[in-house]
Amino acid sequence: MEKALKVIQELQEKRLIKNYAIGGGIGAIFYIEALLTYDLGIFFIPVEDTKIMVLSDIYNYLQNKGYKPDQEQIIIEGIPVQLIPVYNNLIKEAVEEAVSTKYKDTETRLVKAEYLMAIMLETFRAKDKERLIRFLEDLDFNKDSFIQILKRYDLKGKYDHFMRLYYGE
Amino acid sequence: MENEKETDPLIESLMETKKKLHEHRAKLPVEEKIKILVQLQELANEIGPSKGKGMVWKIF
Repeated sequence: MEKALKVIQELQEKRLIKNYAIGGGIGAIFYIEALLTYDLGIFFIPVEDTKIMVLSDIYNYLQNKGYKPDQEQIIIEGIPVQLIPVYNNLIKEAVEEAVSTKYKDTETRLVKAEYLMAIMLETFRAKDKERLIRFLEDLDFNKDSFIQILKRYDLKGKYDHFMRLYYGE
Repeated sequence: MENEKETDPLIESLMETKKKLHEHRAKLPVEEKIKILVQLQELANEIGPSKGKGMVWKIF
């Protein structure tokens, strides 16, 4: 994974993307126990706000380096990577507020736990609910920060409903 | 009604042990967790239906 993360970092250095952070299942694995996932999800802020050509420039660059696309992913150093342009304000803020971290010796950026949890509530697939439970039960996260994010993005009601449903609170 | 709230001590003990196990696994170094992830991918691909199959990471 180290090599793939270096390539992602390179995309920022080459100004093909403005900023990025690891999200999705791999983002979650940085905080909770290992869970089954198949791709490395990278949220990124494009260099310009033009939606067209955002991915094609990046894919061209990666393909020139020998990496092959596979459906909605591109295989980088043996790992299917899903590059996802920020598609709403919550995801954009999650990338902007991401923390620097290291995987082995490689610097990378990681979506904070509280944002990952808010994104899980927003997407709310079965696997998101499962992951959210693990975050709530196993992680010492910043609850004040989490609640503030939920309020800003109109997710507090959904969270309250979730807590009533699964914890009777 | 009081009895309905009581939990079997054995179940309580099992749940507590499971919680500790989750917490312990959560605190493993991320490099270790990635090794576990690849094992999970291999297992899922061996036993799961083809619909859910994904690519096992070729990183080791």
